[in-house]
Amino acid sequence: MSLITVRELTKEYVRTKPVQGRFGTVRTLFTREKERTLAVDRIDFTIDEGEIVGYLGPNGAGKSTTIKLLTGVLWPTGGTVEVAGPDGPVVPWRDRRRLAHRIGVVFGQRSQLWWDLPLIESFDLVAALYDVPADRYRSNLARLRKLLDLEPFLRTPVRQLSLGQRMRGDLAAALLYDPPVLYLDEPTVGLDVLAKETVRGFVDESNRSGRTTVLLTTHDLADVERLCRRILLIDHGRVLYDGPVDGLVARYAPYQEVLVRLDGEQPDGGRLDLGGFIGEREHDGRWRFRVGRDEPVHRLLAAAGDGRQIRELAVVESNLESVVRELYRERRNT
Amino acid sequence: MAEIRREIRLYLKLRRAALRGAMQYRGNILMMVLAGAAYQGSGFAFVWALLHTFGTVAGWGLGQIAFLYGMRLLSHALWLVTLDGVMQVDYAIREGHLDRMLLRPVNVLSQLATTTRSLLPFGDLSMAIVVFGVAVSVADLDWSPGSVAFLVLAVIGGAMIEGSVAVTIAGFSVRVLDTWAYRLMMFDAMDTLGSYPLSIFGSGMQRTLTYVLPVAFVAFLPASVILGRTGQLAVPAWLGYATPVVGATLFTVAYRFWRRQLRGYQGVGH
Amino acid sequence: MSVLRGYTAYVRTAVAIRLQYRSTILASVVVTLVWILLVTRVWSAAFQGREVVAGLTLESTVVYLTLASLQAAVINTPVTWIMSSRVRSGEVLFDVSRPLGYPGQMLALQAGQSMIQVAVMVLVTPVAGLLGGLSGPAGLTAGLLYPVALVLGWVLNALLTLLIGLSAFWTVDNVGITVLYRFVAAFLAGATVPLIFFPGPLRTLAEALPFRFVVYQPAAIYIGQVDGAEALGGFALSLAWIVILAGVVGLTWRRAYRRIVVHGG
Repeated sequence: MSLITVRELTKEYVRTKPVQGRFGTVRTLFTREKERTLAVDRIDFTIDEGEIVGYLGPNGAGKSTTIKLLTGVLWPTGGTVEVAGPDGPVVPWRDRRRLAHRIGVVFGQRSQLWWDLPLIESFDLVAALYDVPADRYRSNLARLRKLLDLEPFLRTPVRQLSLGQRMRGDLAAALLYDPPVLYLDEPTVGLDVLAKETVRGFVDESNRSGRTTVLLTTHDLADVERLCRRILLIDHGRVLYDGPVDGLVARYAPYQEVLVRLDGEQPDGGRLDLGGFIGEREHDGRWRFRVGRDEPVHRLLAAAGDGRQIRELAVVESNLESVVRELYRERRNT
Repeated sequence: MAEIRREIRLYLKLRRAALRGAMQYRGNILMMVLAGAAYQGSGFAFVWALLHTFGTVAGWGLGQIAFLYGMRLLSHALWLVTLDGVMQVDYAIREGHLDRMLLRPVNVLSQLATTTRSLLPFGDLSMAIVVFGVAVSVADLDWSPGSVAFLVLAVIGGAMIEGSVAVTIAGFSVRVLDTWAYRLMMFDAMDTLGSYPLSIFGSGMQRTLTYVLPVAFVAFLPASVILGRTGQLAVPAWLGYATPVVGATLFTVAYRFWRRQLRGYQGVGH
Repeated sequence: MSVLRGYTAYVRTAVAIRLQYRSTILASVVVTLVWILLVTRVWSAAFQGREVVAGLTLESTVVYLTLASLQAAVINTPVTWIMSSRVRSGEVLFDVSRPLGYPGQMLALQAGQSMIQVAVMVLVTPVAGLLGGLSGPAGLTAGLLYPVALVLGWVLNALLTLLIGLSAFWTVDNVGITVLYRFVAAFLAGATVPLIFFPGPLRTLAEALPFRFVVYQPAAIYIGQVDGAEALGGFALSLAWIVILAGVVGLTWRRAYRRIVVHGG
């Protein structure tokens, strides 16, 4: 049973073209000239209860727009979204209030906490806005306090918190009312290594013990490798890939790379044929070979060792980072 | 009904939180209140200096003009104290705060109204109470339960008229970001024209300020009724009683407009 | 010479910044015009057929009010706001590290802002004349002295603005004091009521303060209310105020500078 169902979701931004020049604002109000941008283009996917899905794509791919559609901030141009729940499915933008209790949202770039007030007051306010009963609020807060180690700065005004502390506060605020779904928009941006690990550990824990379903957008692929079993990759508003993390690597980088340094005199030219594998010379003098996953590496090694001394050998597995880098680079070239 | 009670309770909670936030900047509190008072007070000082020399303006004496001025200020302060965050809508959109408000199960306008940490409205309010207090003690008025009730309703109606202008402009902001200069212009014009006996103008201007830009309804018309000065109006005298209805109607229309514009909200950035 | 070029660049930047906010300029024009309309009507209603009150005819009072409103628009500049926001963001450290003195930079900024304001007000003067009332200066001397009075008033206002802006180094947020200055100063400067109409003690206060040289003195010279020896005496007094305020700005700046150097902004 899927928790979130997205069908043919489309968002085209139609902006009145701002009129430059004298009285620009007033004239903008009456102008008919429009600018159209297709940000999300007939996207389909479903997310099951208990999943953690990494939502990836280069800047401007349509990630934020999708999150805003899923959370009901924006009305789509076409298509639909349904979020299942005990009292029937909700279409986000049609019924924001009912949706609100089902989703927690954390934007890494901007806080939902009350800037000038002690952190604890933000929690009180969120609990009131979401009608959390007093006893549940007390027990949830006690749990979150321990999990996120909020105690030391609970009475500090939010504006005096470090970025890491603020993010912990924001995570707590988003889960205070037990939403079954959590949207995380770049939750680790700007955090140091330790703070990132705290955030990841907490998300992992909420997913395991609280069964919270998570959709995570991030540019830090370590987040995805640590947390997600599934990836949705989008670009130009379209879904490019939807499946397991290693499946993405297997599909876009079905090879490993072997780096070889040879002793003694090097062959001439920039290319080297060893047992049918073509290597390219790196600037540090090593030779780089790409070997398919089902191709026999030993042939390469045998050919390399034939009459020469191999001084150094390294096998580089392609990982998510290298694949995504490769994909983004292709995009820029098209 | 339970829903409305909940909204009111949450509105008050948010408003108190905003106030507590403002109180963090102690050094600035007194200055802000003083500034708010000075802004309105300097306007009244003008009338006072004028009447000191001339005695009356267009037949209105000091007590009567103070009454009109005080009534306008009470309406003005009332809408500012309750809704002044609406003036920050551009900022709320640009910083993405409006996105967050849309996510919460609470009325967006009431969240927006309570995002401010300005204390200027309390300066307006203190000045309003001072001027109005002086006016009531100076002006010779026959109070009856009916006229007191009408006064209260008219002040609320006036606040709703000014508030409806703010909410309408906020609605436009959702479509076109840069509206703050026009908002300032609108409110400065209302500040300027709302506080003086409009009988200083010719009848054409009086009608414009009644039917086109409903400034006259905020204080001039109801004050004319309470002070028994409807004789010199260029518009029908019964309009003086219409302020509460005009206020409620305009505010409803403005609120509907705001809701519709919010549906077309496109956010900032993609 | 290159120092002068540096300041000119500042003035140019300020002009460019101001021109980007065209809607603000439009708003200030409308606000000024509405105010002129109101204030001249209120005064006409007050005169009510009387020829001369306190030595002023209605006609010259209306001219005074129209001019005073246009002049007072210059009191309202974004310079104090720019100063406080740069203190808050820490950008003030870049300003301070430039080879030109900080107070000089801010004066140049103010000059650039004013140039646009003055140009706009000159452009709308015919409309202002229609809504309120305008006529030529009271005489040749009045016509010659008016610009001198305006320049002195501008310098005074610029120094006062700078002083208000510098308060940001202590309070960070200076909106309160800016608004306070804007309205109290405008009133005491005679923007809405010529000083001669002020009730006794208020008049003594207004005459003891420098604000009147920004609005009242130029406009009163123009309509011939203030002339000859009184006008020249006023010039001497406003020059004295300029010297005093320049000194105060210098001292305040030295303390403000020490503050950001010690506390790191």
